[in-house]
Amino acid sequence: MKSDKEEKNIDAEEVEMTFEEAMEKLELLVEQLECGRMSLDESLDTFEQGMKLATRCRKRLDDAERRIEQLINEGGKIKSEPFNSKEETE
Amino acid sequence: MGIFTVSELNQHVKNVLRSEPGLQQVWVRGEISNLTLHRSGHYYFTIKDSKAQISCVCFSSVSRMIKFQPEKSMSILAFGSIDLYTVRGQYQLQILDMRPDGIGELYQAFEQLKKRLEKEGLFEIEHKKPIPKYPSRIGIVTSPTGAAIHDILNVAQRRLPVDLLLVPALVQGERSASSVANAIEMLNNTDVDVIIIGRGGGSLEDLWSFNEEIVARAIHNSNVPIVSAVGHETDYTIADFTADLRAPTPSAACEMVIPSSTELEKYIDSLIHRMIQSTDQKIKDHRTDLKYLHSRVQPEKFRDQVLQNYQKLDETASRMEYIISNLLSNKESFLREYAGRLDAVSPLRTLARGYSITMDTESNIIHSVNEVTEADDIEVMIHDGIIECSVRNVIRTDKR
Repeated sequence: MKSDKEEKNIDAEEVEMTFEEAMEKLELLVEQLECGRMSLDESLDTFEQGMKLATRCRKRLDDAERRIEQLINEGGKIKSEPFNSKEETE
Repeated sequence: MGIFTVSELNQHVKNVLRSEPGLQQVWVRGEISNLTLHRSGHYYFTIKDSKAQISCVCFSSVSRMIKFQPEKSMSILAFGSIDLYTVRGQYQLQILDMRPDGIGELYQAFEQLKKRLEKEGLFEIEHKKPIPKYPSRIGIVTSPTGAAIHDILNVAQRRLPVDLLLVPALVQGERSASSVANAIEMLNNTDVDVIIIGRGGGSLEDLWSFNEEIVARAIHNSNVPIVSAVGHETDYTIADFTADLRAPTPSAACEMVIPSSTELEKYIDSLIHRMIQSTDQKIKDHRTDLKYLHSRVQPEKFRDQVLQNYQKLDETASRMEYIISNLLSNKESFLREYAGRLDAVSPLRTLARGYSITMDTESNIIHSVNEVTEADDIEVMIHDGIIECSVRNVIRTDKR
């Protein structure tokens, strides 16, 4: 898949982050920057890291990929399969 | 026996029903359901107990006389006659009078369970788990063909892309409560961040599975936060009270759980803006500091300092010179003045003007005639020499 390939190009640490973790980290970085107690070097590092996260989060918004699945119990075995509602197939 | 047309058959049944005295002018007790208050003033509804139901019609001529407003799930005593609505072949109670009868059975059951679970603490705020701000995978428990999933998918499409995991469940009928409870348990074994359970609007009995204890327990035992979205805005169920968050409708649940893409975009942009601004400020602050420090170590400033010191030194030196020369010239003029004054009082000057000084031979100045006698030798000093004299006579001038 296209998105999988792209993900591989991003830092390993960031790939593991969920959108929620990324947003929380981003909010934390912004607060740290705003409190102004960091050295200039730290500020610039934080800024760079924050911008990377923000770009990643924004990209996630435009990323139209979304999986819609359903869990079904087939003879005691639970499996998931793509879900197509009637409305969508029409 | 000939062949009836449907109309004839229905008419026949109608006649039979209407001629049966046991079905005329009867009282029946039950709970109102599927109520329609038609604009014409006619009321159409069913009354039911836990096992059966019967259609009722209350024409405006009667409904005008009734002193209360019938409501959904209201328990009533109805008085009327059994009739047949031939158009649909449906038998019904034609209401002649009705009155409220305490609280409906289902409603009573609802109230009892609510009270019991409340006492047990299932609705307590401290059991409410927070709903994640940015879920990435959402579990949904509802019918795969109902209005709820349709609404949810519709809303989800316009919001932050998230994965949806549906567990199809019965949301109506006898087995629905255990079906919903099972689905919740199933989703607890997946990686979903939050679960939405619910269904579209319906009558109280349609929504009943969400009022059952087994569903409330499943919600309470769930490790994943649960949003309950049952029926319409005005429908409150036990599931709503037990859930971590109540949404008025399934679409609203979706909106509450999945952040809006446009709002998030704006929010992220504002975060970017804040980062740029504070970093900018940081750089500006450092630039100001640097400027200040630079100004303090500037070499020109040192040279300037040295030159200023030179100037100060020169100034001091010339001031010293000035003071000393002043001092010298002062002393000189003093000297001149004193010399003049000394000159003025000098005996030599007096001598020069013709005066003389009389002295004895030892050069003591003779001030009085008493100091000399006749024949003494004296010396008279005048400006250009000394005259040695002998005293011939002494004349006292003060005796004259």
